[in-house]
Amino acid sequence: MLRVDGLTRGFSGRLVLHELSFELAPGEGAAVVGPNGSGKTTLLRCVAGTDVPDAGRITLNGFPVSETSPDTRAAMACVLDDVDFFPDLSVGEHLALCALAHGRPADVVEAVLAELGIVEQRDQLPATLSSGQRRRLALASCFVRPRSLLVLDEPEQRLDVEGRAWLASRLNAEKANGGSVLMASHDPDLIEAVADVYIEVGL
Amino acid sequence: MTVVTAGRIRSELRAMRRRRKPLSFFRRLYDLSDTALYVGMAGGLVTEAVIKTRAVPALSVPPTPHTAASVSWMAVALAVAAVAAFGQALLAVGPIWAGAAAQTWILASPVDRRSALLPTFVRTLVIAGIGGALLAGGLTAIYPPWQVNLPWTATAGFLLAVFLVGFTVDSQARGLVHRVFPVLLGVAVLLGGVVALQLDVPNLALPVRNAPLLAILAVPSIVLGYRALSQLHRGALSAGGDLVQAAAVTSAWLDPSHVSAALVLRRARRIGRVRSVRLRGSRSFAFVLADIARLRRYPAAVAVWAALLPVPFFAAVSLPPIAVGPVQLLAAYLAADRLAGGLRTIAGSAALRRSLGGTDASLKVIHLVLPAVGAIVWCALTSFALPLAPSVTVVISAAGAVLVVYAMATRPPMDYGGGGAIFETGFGAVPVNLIRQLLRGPALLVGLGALQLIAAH
Repeated sequence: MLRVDGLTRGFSGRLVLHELSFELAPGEGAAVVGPNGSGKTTLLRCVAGTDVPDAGRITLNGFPVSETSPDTRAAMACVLDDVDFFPDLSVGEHLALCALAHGRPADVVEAVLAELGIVEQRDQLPATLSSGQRRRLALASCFVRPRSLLVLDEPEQRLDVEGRAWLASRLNAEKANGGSVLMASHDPDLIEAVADVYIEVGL
Repeated sequence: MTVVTAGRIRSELRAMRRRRKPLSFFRRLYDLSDTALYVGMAGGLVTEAVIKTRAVPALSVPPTPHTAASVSWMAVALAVAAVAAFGQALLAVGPIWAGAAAQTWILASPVDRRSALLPTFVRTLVIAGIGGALLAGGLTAIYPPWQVNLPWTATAGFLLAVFLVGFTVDSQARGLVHRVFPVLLGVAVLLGGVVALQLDVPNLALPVRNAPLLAILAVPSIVLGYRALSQLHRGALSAGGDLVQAAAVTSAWLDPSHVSAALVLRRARRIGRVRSVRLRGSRSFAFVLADIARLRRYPAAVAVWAALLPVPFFAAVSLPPIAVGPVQLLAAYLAADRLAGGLRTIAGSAALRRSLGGTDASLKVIHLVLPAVGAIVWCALTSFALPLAPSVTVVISAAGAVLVVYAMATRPPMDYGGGGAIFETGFGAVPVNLIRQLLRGPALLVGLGALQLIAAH
């Protein structure tokens, strides 16, 4: 259960988020919506713990969210704007390492590679991937590991039409398995397909 | 159609720059004197340090006696290693490169390519030549028997550097991937091994006095490079741009991570596809396996680790006995640092740490295993070179190397933003972050070097 209570965040005197509160239960999907610059990414960063709110409290499964806490890291899988990869490990190795680091066998990698359509890229280094393939790798690194909350910043970015349709069904499957999804998106189809809760910011 | 010459474009660009940013003669003179003042201050400090160091009795003790043959083999090994490193560095930046603006606005036009690149070629020859002379002079400084030939050595360095520029420009134009420099580095290591093992070998001689011979090599090489200028396509010219820009940012921000990041990216793009290894086992074991996979992927890191092995033995041949320990420490750090690619990546990326779980400390410690093993093995292999207090010295070198590798890999990047505090010194403002960077880097190394001196005294 993700609980955000009275979240406030501003930059240089400009208030971006003001006393925002919401809850996200297991199996629910939430879409953060609003125009550019309205604070969608700031909200996701605060939830992921990479940004510190000026006021308010964020808890996940009853514990305060902290980016450096092993509990938070074990429960939350994120694709934010700071997504990064080991430059010298192949796509397959990167995903295997993600799985093993979270105590899951590396066998899961092949299925996720196939699901995301990057089987042919298994032995490539991330620097040689296209922007769309990098996006798929970022999503794959969330799916190879256990998690109870997915935090995704515009996950539809750089995915083709087929990829967006797959993403919607994949996120719904995530919800059906008891996971929660918190995402910022500009894609109305994806939002409609996945979101049970709408969090409007900047309005 | 009017043909526009490269010279015409250059003069037009100069005129535009003058119009946009007019600088008077006195302003230029002021800027020059400002730079000269700082260079003079730095030079004075270095000179004073050298004079004071030479006056220390413990540093006036001559090196442990060695055969003339081992001294000559060391000289040849150093020269060969210097040529290899210089050539590799030239190939890394091009050696001819053009920034994005030049590529878009000048090289895309029908201007004669050779004429457009000629000033860059000449500039590269001059800078590389001076760099080669300084490098050769610097090597002379640590190798006393050469001091009698300082002018010749510098001339040889200049001519060899010029030769290398012409040779590498030709390679750049033809898109050749040269193995010659790594091979030369391997030869240097083998030559160094002769010194380290103190084998009974005949004397070697370097043709440093034979400037005409080197000039005969350099002149055709310049012609070769000049001819190759017209063949340089925009792809070849852009390759070094990112590295040069990263180097410029590094020097302006005093943050070497920009260059290392650019090098890592370039290396990854060059390799492209690899044979993936099967990671398995526990979390910690998988991380260590991944670190070993990195080494298999980049054998150059292991090559540099091995290439540094003769350095303490060279120090034993050419420096006072008490100085060998600090040299071992410095080389041990450089060797272990080559194995710390995983540590640098994990320390520099919050997103990766977040995605891999666990605590930051546990992730960093796991990625320190390989550099630590590398440092211990390296120090054990070079312990035979230590003339004074070898057991204490080798422990300080190994532990110190690991400590410095960890401190430098995990130090936060330089922050010149509003959050960075400023420390006002008598000579001007210094960012506190810069002091921290020094304390977690060169200053730590110097402190451990001082500890070595105390231990060996």
